[in-house]
Amino acid sequence: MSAPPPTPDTVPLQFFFLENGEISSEQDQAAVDAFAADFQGLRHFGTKLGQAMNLKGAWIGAVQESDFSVIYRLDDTDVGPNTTGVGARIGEQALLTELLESLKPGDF
Amino acid sequence: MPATITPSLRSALERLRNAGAINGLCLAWRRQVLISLLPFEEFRAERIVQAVEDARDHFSTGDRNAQTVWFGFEGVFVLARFFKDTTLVVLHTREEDVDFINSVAATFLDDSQLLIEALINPPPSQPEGDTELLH
Repeated sequence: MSAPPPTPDTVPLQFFFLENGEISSEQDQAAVDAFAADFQGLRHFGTKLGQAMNLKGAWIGAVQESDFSVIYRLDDTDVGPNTTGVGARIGEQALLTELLESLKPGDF
Repeated sequence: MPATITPSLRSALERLRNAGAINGLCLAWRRQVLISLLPFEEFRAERIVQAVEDARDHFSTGDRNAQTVWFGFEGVFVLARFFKDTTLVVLHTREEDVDFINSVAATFLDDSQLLIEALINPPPSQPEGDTELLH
């Protein structure tokens, strides 16, 4: 009997890599797609928020829910369309500083 | 006779602003700016609130319910904490403060619901000066 598919509150810490507008990961396609949707949403609203403050787009973006957290961090604060970076998501209300710390090179 | 204490959302927010590396605060109710202590013009404060509320709506569909969104820009971070119909936007400068500020924002919003309710729906006997929306 196969295990049930993970629901949002059972997602383990997962990492995603952003390069040249593409997202890659060791996770399955469903996880990549889910992260990609959140990443695109965060980029969109980060850009919108930046425009409101007369700033460039956001190089960090995160959403925290009661049982789920997702975050991305780009390698350069000078955000461009081909900027590289790392993202993560986890099925718990994780501390954002801990999630950021987990995105440092060598930790995954 | 005990002195009358007049609670003030603005003074509470100003105390928050002086708490650390915070350089701007904005309290909103249903996309309406109640108090802005942001270093921007009013129209920018309104755009900021619209942007974070749009993000909240986007990430609160289905089973999801966004409590916090956080963005990092060159030189400044923006945290928006949501509670019921209210939102507190905080501009801060130190990345490592984010969880502390998130916690403080949650407590502030929880503790301020009665004051916000009084501001939105003032009792008939309350003097007009205390019910004015502050910007």
